[in-house]
Amino acid sequence: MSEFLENEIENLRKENEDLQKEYEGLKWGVQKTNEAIKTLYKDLERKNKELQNLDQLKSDFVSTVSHELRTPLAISTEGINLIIDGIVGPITDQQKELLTMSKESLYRLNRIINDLLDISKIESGKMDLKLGPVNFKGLLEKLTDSYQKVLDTKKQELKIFFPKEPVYLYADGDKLIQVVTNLLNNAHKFTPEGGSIKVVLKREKDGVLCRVQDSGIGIAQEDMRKLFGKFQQFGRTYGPGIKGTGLGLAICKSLIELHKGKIWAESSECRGTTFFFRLPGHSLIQEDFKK
Amino acid sequence: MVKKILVIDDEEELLGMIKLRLEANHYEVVTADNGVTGLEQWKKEQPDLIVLDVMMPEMDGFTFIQEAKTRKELNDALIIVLTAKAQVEDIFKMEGVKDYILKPFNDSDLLATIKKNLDGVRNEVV
Repeated sequence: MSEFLENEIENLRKENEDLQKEYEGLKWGVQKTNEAIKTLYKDLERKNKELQNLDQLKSDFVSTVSHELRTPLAISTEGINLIIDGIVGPITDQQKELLTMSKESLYRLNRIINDLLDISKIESGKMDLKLGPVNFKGLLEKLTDSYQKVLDTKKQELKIFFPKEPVYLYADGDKLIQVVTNLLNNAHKFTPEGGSIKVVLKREKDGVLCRVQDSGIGIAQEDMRKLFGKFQQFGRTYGPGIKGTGLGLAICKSLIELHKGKIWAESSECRGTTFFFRLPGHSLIQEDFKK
Repeated sequence: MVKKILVIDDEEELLGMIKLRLEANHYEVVTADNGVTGLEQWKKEQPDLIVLDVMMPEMDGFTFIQEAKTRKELNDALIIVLTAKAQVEDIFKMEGVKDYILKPFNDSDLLATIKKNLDGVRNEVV
Protein backbone atom coordinates (compact mmCIF):
# COMPACT_ATOMS: atom_id res chain seq x y z
CA MET A 1 0.00 0.00 0.00
CA SER A 2 2.68 2.45 1.03
CA GLU A 3 4.71 1.47 -1.99
CA PHE A 4 1.75 2.21 -4.17
CA LEU A 5 1.32 5.60 -2.52
CA GLU A 6 5.01 6.39 -2.87
CA ASN A 7 4.81 5.52 -6.55
CA GLU A 8 1.78 7.74 -6.94
CA ILE A 9 3.57 10.58 -5.17
CA GLU A 10 6.60 10.07 -7.36
CA ASN A 11 4.42 10.11 -10.46
CA LEU A 12 2.63 13.22 -9.33
CA ARG A 13 5.95 14.93 -8.61
CA LYS A 14 7.16 14.06 -12.09
CA GLU A 15 3.93 15.33 -13.58
CA ASN A 16 4.33 18.46 -11.51
CA GLU A 17 7.85 18.93 -12.75
CA ASP A 18 6.74 18.42 -16.31
CA LEU A 19 3.96 20.90 -15.84
CA GLN A 20 6.39 23.34 -14.27
CA LYS A 21 8.70 22.93 -17.27
CA GLU A 22 5.82 23.35 -19.65
CA TYR A 23 4.71 26.41 -17.69
CA GLU A 24 8.20 27.90 -17.84
CA GLY A 25 8.30 27.18 -21.53
CA LEU A 26 4.95 28.84 -22.07
CA LYS A 27 5.91 31.77 -19.84
CA TRP A 28 9.03 32.27 -21.88
CA GLY A 29 6.92 32.07 -25.05
CA VAL A 30 4.43 34.60 -23.74
CA GLN A 31 7.23 36.92 -22.70
CA LYS A 32 8.78 36.68 -26.13
CA THR A 33 5.40 37.24 -27.77
CA ASN A 34 4.81 40.26 -25.54
CA GLU A 35 8.19 41.67 -26.45
CA ALA A 36 7.51 41.06 -30.11
CA ILE A 37 4.12 42.77 -29.79
CA LYS A 38 5.73 45.72 -28.04
CA THR A 39 8.31 46.03 -30.79
CA LEU A 40 5.61 45.77 -33.41
CA TYR A 41 3.51 48.36 -31.60
CA LYS A 42 6.44 50.77 -31.41
CA ASP A 43 7.10 50.15 -35.08
CA LEU A 44 3.47 50.83 -35.88
CA GLU A 45 3.48 54.03 -33.81
CA ARG A 46 6.57 55.22 -35.58
CA LYS A 47 5.09 54.42 -39.00
CA ASN A 48 1.87 56.15 -38.01
CA LYS A 49 3.78 59.26 -36.98
CA GLU A 50 5.70 59.15 -40.26
CA LEU A 51 2.43 58.92 -42.18
CA GLN A 52 0.95 61.81 -40.23
CA ASN A 53 4.04 63.88 -40.95
CA LEU A 54 3.85 63.00 -44.63
CA ASP A 55 0.17 63.89 -44.73
CA GLN A 56 0.89 67.22 -43.05
CA LEU A 57 3.70 67.81 -45.52
CA LYS A 58 1.36 67.09 -48.40
CA SER A 59 -1.29 69.46 -47.04
CA ASP A 60 1.25 72.21 -46.38
CA PHE A 61 2.67 71.71 -49.84
CA VAL A 62 -0.70 71.94 -51.56
CA SER A 63 -1.65 74.98 -49.54
CA THR A 64 1.65 76.82 -50.15
CA VAL A 65 1.75 76.01 -53.84
CA SER A 66 -1.86 77.06 -54.29
CA HIS A 67 -1.26 80.41 -52.60
CA GLU A 68 1.85 80.94 -54.69
CA LEU A 69 -0.09 80.17 -57.87
CA ARG A 70 -2.74 82.74 -57.11
CA THR A 71 -0.68 85.88 -57.63
CA PRO A 72 0.59 85.09 -61.15
CA LEU A 73 -2.93 83.92 -61.96
CA ALA A 74 -4.42 87.19 -60.76
CA ILE A 75 -1.90 89.17 -62.80
CA SER A 76 -2.55 87.15 -65.99
CA THR A 77 -6.32 87.45 -65.57
CA GLU A 78 -6.24 91.17 -64.93
CA GLY A 79 -3.92 91.76 -67.88
CA ILE A 80 -6.27 89.90 -70.23
CA ASN A 81 -9.30 91.67 -68.78
CA LEU A 82 -7.72 95.07 -69.41
CA ILE A 83 -7.18 94.16 -73.06
CA ILE A 84 -10.64 92.62 -73.53
CA ASP A 85 -12.27 95.69 -72.00
CA GLY A 86 -10.44 97.85 -74.55
CA ILE A 87 -8.74 99.93 -71.86
CA VAL A 88 -5.34 99.81 -73.57
CA GLY A 89 -6.66 100.19 -77.11
CA PRO A 90 -9.13 98.68 -79.57
CA ILE A 91 -8.97 94.96 -80.44
CA THR A 92 -10.52 92.89 -83.22
CA ASP A 93 -13.37 90.43 -82.64
CA GLN A 94 -11.07 87.50 -83.26
CA GLN A 95 -8.53 88.78 -80.75
CA LYS A 96 -11.33 89.25 -78.27
CA GLU A 97 -12.59 85.73 -78.86
CA LEU A 98 -9.16 84.20 -78.28
CA LEU A 99 -8.54 86.26 -75.18
CA THR A 100 -11.96 85.35 -73.81
CA MET A 101 -11.04 81.68 -74.18
CA SER A 102 -7.79 82.32 -72.30
CA LYS A 103 -9.70 84.18 -69.62
CA GLU A 104 -12.18 81.32 -69.17
CA SER A 105 -9.28 78.89 -68.80
CA LEU A 106 -7.68 81.09 -66.18
CA TYR A 107 -10.96 81.22 -64.28
CA ARG A 108 -11.07 77.45 -64.46
CA LEU A 109 -7.51 77.23 -63.15
CA ASN A 110 -8.56 79.51 -60.33
CA ARG A 111 -11.46 77.22 -59.48
CA ILE A 112 -9.15 74.20 -59.47
CA ILE A 113 -6.76 75.97 -57.11
CA ASN A 114 -9.62 76.94 -54.81
CA ASP A 115 -10.90 73.36 -54.80
CA LEU A 116 -7.43 71.98 -54.09
CA LEU A 117 -7.03 74.42 -51.23
CA ASP A 118 -10.40 73.40 -49.84
CA ILE A 119 -9.61 69.70 -50.08
CA SER A 120 -6.22 70.16 -48.42
CA LYS A 121 -7.85 72.19 -45.64
CA ILE A 122 -10.51 69.53 -45.14
CA GLU A 123 -8.01 66.69 -45.11
CA SER A 124 -5.73 68.38 -42.59
CA GLY A 125 -8.72 69.18 -40.38
CA LYS A 126 -8.22 72.91 -40.84
CA MET A 127 -11.56 73.67 -42.49
CA ASP A 128 -13.36 75.63 -39.79
CA LEU A 129 -16.99 76.56 -40.00
CA LYS A 130 -17.94 80.14 -39.19
CA LEU A 131 -21.22 79.27 -37.56
CA GLY A 132 -24.00 81.75 -37.05
CA PRO A 133 -27.71 82.10 -37.61
CA VAL A 134 -28.47 81.71 -41.32
CA ASN A 135 -31.77 82.35 -43.05
CA PHE A 136 -31.43 79.34 -45.30
CA LYS A 137 -34.57 80.03 -47.29
CA GLY A 138 -33.44 83.61 -47.97
CA LEU A 139 -30.01 82.35 -48.95
CA LEU A 140 -31.50 79.86 -51.42
CA GLU A 141 -33.80 82.52 -52.88
CA LYS A 142 -30.91 84.90 -53.53
CA LEU A 143 -28.75 82.14 -54.93
CA THR A 144 -31.35 80.69 -57.30
CA ASP A 145 -32.32 84.18 -58.37
CA SER A 146 -28.77 85.09 -59.37
CA TYR A 147 -28.24 81.65 -60.94
CA GLN A 148 -31.11 82.18 -63.35
CA LYS A 149 -28.89 84.04 -65.81
CA VAL A 150 -26.56 81.03 -66.00
CA LEU A 151 -29.50 78.73 -66.69
CA ASP A 152 -30.76 81.13 -69.35
CA THR A 153 -27.68 80.36 -71.45
CA LYS A 154 -29.12 76.86 -72.00
CA LYS A 155 -32.77 77.93 -71.81
CA GLN A 156 -33.24 75.78 -68.72
CA GLU A 157 -36.23 76.32 -66.53
CA LEU A 158 -35.79 76.75 -62.78
CA LYS A 159 -38.57 75.65 -60.47
CA ILE A 160 -38.34 76.43 -56.77
CA PHE A 161 -40.43 75.05 -53.94
CA PHE A 162 -39.68 76.72 -50.62
CA PRO A 163 -41.69 76.89 -47.39
CA LYS A 164 -43.64 80.13 -46.79
CA GLU A 165 -41.89 81.07 -43.56
CA PRO A 166 -38.13 81.66 -43.22
CA VAL A 167 -35.96 78.68 -42.26
CA TYR A 168 -33.21 79.54 -39.80
CA LEU A 169 -30.18 77.37 -39.34
CA TYR A 170 -27.15 77.61 -37.12
CA ALA A 171 -24.63 77.09 -39.91
CA ASP A 172 -21.86 78.59 -42.06
CA GLY A 173 -23.76 80.49 -44.77
CA ASP A 174 -20.78 80.78 -47.15
CA LYS A 175 -20.18 77.04 -47.06
CA LEU A 176 -23.85 76.31 -47.75
CA ILE A 177 -23.73 78.69 -50.72
CA GLN A 178 -20.68 76.77 -51.94
CA VAL A 179 -22.53 73.44 -51.69
CA VAL A 180 -25.71 74.60 -53.42
CA THR A 181 -23.77 76.45 -56.14
CA ASN A 182 -21.83 73.28 -56.83
CA LEU A 183 -25.01 71.20 -57.10
CA LEU A 184 -26.55 73.81 -59.39
CA ASN A 185 -23.42 73.84 -61.57
CA ASN A 186 -23.65 70.07 -61.95
CA ALA A 187 -27.37 70.19 -62.70
CA HIS A 188 -26.81 72.93 -65.29
CA LYS A 189 -23.89 71.15 -66.91
CA PHE A 190 -25.51 67.73 -67.22
CA THR A 191 -28.96 68.88 -68.30
CA PRO A 192 -29.55 69.47 -72.02
CA GLU A 193 -30.84 72.68 -73.45
CA GLY A 194 -34.45 73.35 -72.57
CA GLY A 195 -34.37 71.00 -69.57
CA SER A 196 -35.56 71.85 -66.11
CA ILE A 197 -33.94 72.12 -62.70
CA LYS A 198 -35.85 71.96 -59.47
CA VAL A 199 -34.73 73.23 -56.07
CA VAL A 200 -36.83 72.10 -53.12
CA LEU A 201 -36.47 73.06 -49.47
CA LYS A 202 -38.48 71.22 -46.87
CA ARG A 203 -38.66 71.69 -43.15
CA GLU A 204 -38.48 68.42 -41.28
CA LYS A 205 -38.96 67.40 -37.69
CA ASP A 206 -35.25 67.63 -36.83
CA GLY A 207 -33.86 69.90 -39.48
CA VAL A 208 -34.19 70.64 -43.16
CA LEU A 209 -34.02 68.65 -46.37
CA CYS A 210 -32.83 70.33 -49.56
CA ARG A 211 -33.06 68.79 -52.98
CA VAL A 212 -31.54 69.81 -56.32
CA GLN A 213 -33.12 67.84 -59.11
CA ASP A 214 -32.27 67.93 -62.81
CA SER A 215 -33.73 66.41 -65.94
CA GLY A 216 -30.30 65.63 -67.31
CA ILE A 217 -28.35 62.69 -68.64
CA GLY A 218 -28.20 60.94 -65.27
CA ILE A 219 -25.39 58.87 -63.79
CA ALA A 220 -24.66 55.22 -64.60
CA GLN A 221 -25.35 52.86 -61.72
CA GLU A 222 -21.71 51.72 -61.53
CA ASP A 223 -20.57 55.33 -61.11
CA MET A 224 -22.94 56.12 -58.26
CA ARG A 225 -20.74 54.73 -55.49
CA LYS A 226 -17.76 56.77 -56.71
CA LEU A 227 -19.83 59.91 -56.92
CA PHE A 228 -18.47 61.68 -53.84
CA GLY A 229 -14.87 60.55 -54.31
CA LYS A 230 -11.99 62.82 -55.22
CA PHE A 231 -11.08 63.46 -58.87
CA GLN A 232 -14.15 61.66 -60.17
CA GLN A 233 -15.76 62.91 -63.34
CA PHE A 234 -18.50 61.17 -65.21
CA GLY A 235 -20.23 61.81 -68.49
CA ARG A 236 -17.92 64.66 -69.39
CA THR A 237 -19.22 66.73 -72.19
CA TYR A 238 -17.23 69.10 -74.27
CA GLY A 239 -20.05 71.49 -74.93
CA PRO A 240 -20.61 74.83 -73.28
CA GLY A 241 -20.97 75.11 -69.53
CA ILE A 242 -18.79 75.22 -66.51
CA LYS A 243 -15.98 72.70 -66.62
CA GLY A 244 -15.42 70.92 -63.35
CA THR A 245 -12.44 69.84 -61.31
CA GLY A 246 -13.70 66.46 -60.12
CA LEU A 247 -13.43 67.70 -56.55
CA GLY A 248 -16.74 69.52 -56.19
CA LEU A 249 -18.85 66.72 -54.75
CA ALA A 250 -16.08 65.51 -52.44
CA ILE A 251 -15.94 69.04 -51.04
CA CYS A 252 -19.75 69.23 -50.79
CA LYS A 253 -19.82 65.98 -48.84
CA SER A 254 -17.18 67.18 -46.38
CA LEU A 255 -18.85 70.56 -45.91
CA ILE A 256 -22.23 68.96 -45.22
CA GLU A 257 -20.68 66.44 -42.85
CA LEU A 258 -18.88 69.24 -41.00
CA HIS A 259 -22.39 70.59 -40.38
CA LYS A 260 -23.30 67.14 -39.03
CA GLY A 261 -25.57 66.66 -42.03
CA LYS A 262 -25.80 64.04 -44.73
CA ILE A 263 -25.65 64.23 -48.54
CA TRP A 264 -26.67 61.59 -51.08
CA ALA A 265 -27.93 61.20 -54.63
CA GLU A 266 -30.42 59.25 -56.66
CA SER A 267 -30.19 58.91 -60.40
CA SER A 268 -31.43 57.01 -63.36
CA GLU A 269 -29.73 57.27 -66.72
CA CYS A 270 -31.39 59.58 -69.21
CA ARG A 271 -33.98 60.66 -66.62
CA GLY A 272 -31.93 62.90 -64.42
CA THR A 273 -30.23 63.09 -61.07
CA THR A 274 -31.38 64.35 -57.70
CA PHE A 275 -29.02 65.43 -54.95
CA PHE A 276 -30.33 65.54 -51.41
CA PHE A 277 -28.79 66.98 -48.30
CA ARG A 278 -30.19 67.04 -44.83
CA LEU A 279 -29.04 69.47 -42.17
CA PRO A 280 -29.95 69.21 -38.50
CA GLY A 281 -32.18 71.99 -37.18
CA HIS A 282 -31.14 75.11 -35.35
CA SER A 283 -31.57 73.79 -31.82
CA LEU A 284 -30.06 70.44 -32.66
CA ILE A 285 -26.78 71.92 -33.85
CA GLN A 286 -26.65 74.33 -30.93
CA GLU A 287 -27.05 71.49 -28.48
CA ASP A 288 -24.20 69.68 -30.13
CA PHE A 289 -21.95 72.66 -29.83
CA LYS A 290 -22.72 73.18 -26.15
CA LYS A 291 -21.10 69.82 -25.39
CA MET B 1 -13.79 116.82 -59.06
CA VAL B 2 -11.56 113.86 -59.85
CA LYS B 3 -10.94 111.70 -56.78
CA LYS B 4 -7.42 110.65 -55.95
CA ILE B 5 -6.71 107.05 -54.96
CA LEU B 6 -3.51 105.69 -53.44
CA VAL B 7 -2.97 102.00 -54.17
CA ILE B 8 -0.44 100.15 -52.02
CA ASP B 9 0.51 96.62 -53.11
CA ASP B 10 3.85 94.81 -53.26
CA GLU B 11 2.98 93.04 -56.53
CA GLU B 12 4.20 95.63 -59.00
CA GLU B 13 2.55 94.12 -62.07
CA LEU B 14 -0.81 93.97 -60.32
CA LEU B 15 -0.28 97.50 -59.04
CA GLY B 16 0.23 98.76 -62.58
CA MET B 17 -2.87 96.99 -63.79
CA ILE B 18 -5.07 98.30 -60.97
CA LYS B 19 -3.78 101.77 -61.84
CA LEU B 20 -4.80 101.31 -65.50
CA ARG B 21 -8.21 100.02 -64.52
CA LEU B 22 -8.91 102.86 -62.08
CA GLU B 23 -7.63 105.51 -64.49
CA ALA B 24 -9.94 104.12 -67.16
CA ASN B 25 -12.72 104.77 -64.66
CA HIS B 26 -11.69 108.41 -64.26
CA TYR B 27 -9.80 108.31 -61.00
CA GLU B 28 -6.43 109.90 -60.41
CA VAL B 29 -4.14 107.14 -59.19
CA VAL B 30 -0.88 107.19 -57.25
CA THR B 31 0.88 104.02 -56.16
CA ALA B 32 3.35 102.61 -53.66
CA ASP B 33 4.83 99.12 -53.49
CA ASN B 34 5.27 98.92 -49.73
CA GLY B 35 4.03 100.44 -46.49
CA VAL B 36 6.96 102.79 -46.01
CA THR B 37 6.67 104.49 -49.39
CA GLY B 38 2.91 104.24 -48.92
CA LEU B 39 3.08 106.55 -45.90
CA GLU B 40 5.30 108.98 -47.85
CA GLN B 41 2.85 109.01 -50.74
CA TRP B 42 -0.07 109.52 -48.36
CA LYS B 43 1.61 112.57 -46.85
CA LYS B 44 2.62 113.99 -50.23
CA GLU B 45 -0.52 113.24 -52.26
CA GLN B 46 -3.29 113.51 -49.62
CA PRO B 47 -5.50 110.93 -51.40
CA ASP B 48 -9.28 110.65 -50.93
CA LEU B 49 -9.11 106.88 -50.63
CA ILE B 50 -6.44 104.22 -50.07
CA VAL B 51 -6.54 100.66 -51.39
CA LEU B 52 -4.22 98.73 -49.12
CA ASP B 53 -2.87 95.21 -49.50
CA VAL B 54 -2.50 93.50 -46.13
CA MET B 55 0.19 90.94 -46.87
CA MET B 56 3.30 92.92 -47.74
CA PRO B 57 6.97 92.57 -46.85
CA GLU B 58 8.75 95.32 -44.87
CA MET B 59 5.59 96.84 -43.47
CA ASP B 60 2.33 94.90 -43.58
CA GLY B 61 -1.12 96.44 -43.71
CA PHE B 62 -1.68 96.21 -39.95
CA THR B 63 1.55 98.01 -39.10
CA PHE B 64 0.83 100.54 -41.82
CA ILE B 65 -2.50 101.52 -40.24
CA GLN B 66 -1.03 101.64 -36.74
CA GLU B 67 1.83 103.80 -37.97
CA ALA B 68 -0.58 106.08 -39.85
CA LYS B 69 -2.60 106.71 -36.71
CA THR B 70 0.40 108.23 -34.90
CA ARG B 71 1.08 110.70 -37.72
CA LYS B 72 -0.79 113.95 -37.67
CA GLU B 73 0.35 115.19 -41.09
CA LEU B 74 -1.83 112.59 -42.88
CA ASN B 75 -5.36 113.44 -43.97
CA ASP B 76 -8.23 111.16 -42.99
CA ALA B 77 -8.41 109.21 -46.24
CA LEU B 78 -10.80 106.26 -46.44
CA ILE B 79 -8.97 102.94 -46.25
CA ILE B 80 -10.12 99.84 -48.10
CA VAL B 81 -8.09 96.71 -47.50
CA LEU B 82 -7.38 93.87 -49.89
CA THR B 83 -7.42 90.72 -47.86
CA ALA B 84 -7.79 86.97 -47.92
CA LYS B 85 -10.97 85.76 -46.33
CA ALA B 86 -9.44 84.39 -43.14
CA GLN B 87 -8.25 87.83 -42.09
CA VAL B 88 -11.46 89.79 -42.53
CA GLU B 89 -12.37 89.75 -38.84
CA ASP B 90 -8.95 90.97 -37.67
CA ILE B 91 -9.07 93.77 -40.19
CA PHE B 92 -12.40 95.06 -39.03
CA LYS B 93 -11.11 95.47 -35.49
CA MET B 94 -8.73 98.13 -36.82
CA GLU B 95 -9.79 101.69 -36.46
CA GLY B 96 -9.85 103.62 -39.72
CA VAL B 97 -10.64 100.71 -42.01
CA LYS B 98 -13.83 101.44 -43.89
CA ASP B 99 -14.28 98.41 -46.06
CA TYR B 100 -12.59 95.37 -47.50
CA ILE B 101 -12.25 93.55 -50.79
CA LEU B 102 -11.67 89.83 -50.69
CA LYS B 103 -8.70 88.47 -52.59
CA PRO B 104 -8.65 87.30 -55.33
CA PHE B 105 -10.88 90.19 -56.34
CA ASN B 106 -12.53 90.96 -59.63
CA ASP B 107 -12.71 94.35 -61.27
CA SER B 108 -16.39 94.96 -60.70
CA ASP B 109 -16.01 94.30 -56.94
CA LEU B 110 -13.07 96.64 -56.77
CA LEU B 111 -14.79 99.44 -58.67
CA ALA B 112 -18.10 99.04 -56.86
CA THR B 113 -16.49 99.09 -53.41
CA ILE B 114 -14.42 102.17 -54.23
CA LYS B 115 -17.41 104.02 -55.65
CA LYS B 116 -19.66 103.10 -52.75
CA ASN B 117 -17.19 104.39 -50.21
CA LEU B 118 -16.35 107.56 -52.08
CA ASP B 119 -20.07 108.25 -52.42
CA GLY B 120 -20.31 107.95 -48.66
CA VAL B 121 -22.38 104.82 -48.59
CA ARG B 122 -21.00 102.36 -46.09
CA ASN B 123 -20.80 98.84 -47.45
CA GLU B 124 -23.17 96.55 -45.66
CA VAL B 125 -21.20 93.87 -43.86
CA VAL B 126 -22.78 90.48 -44.45
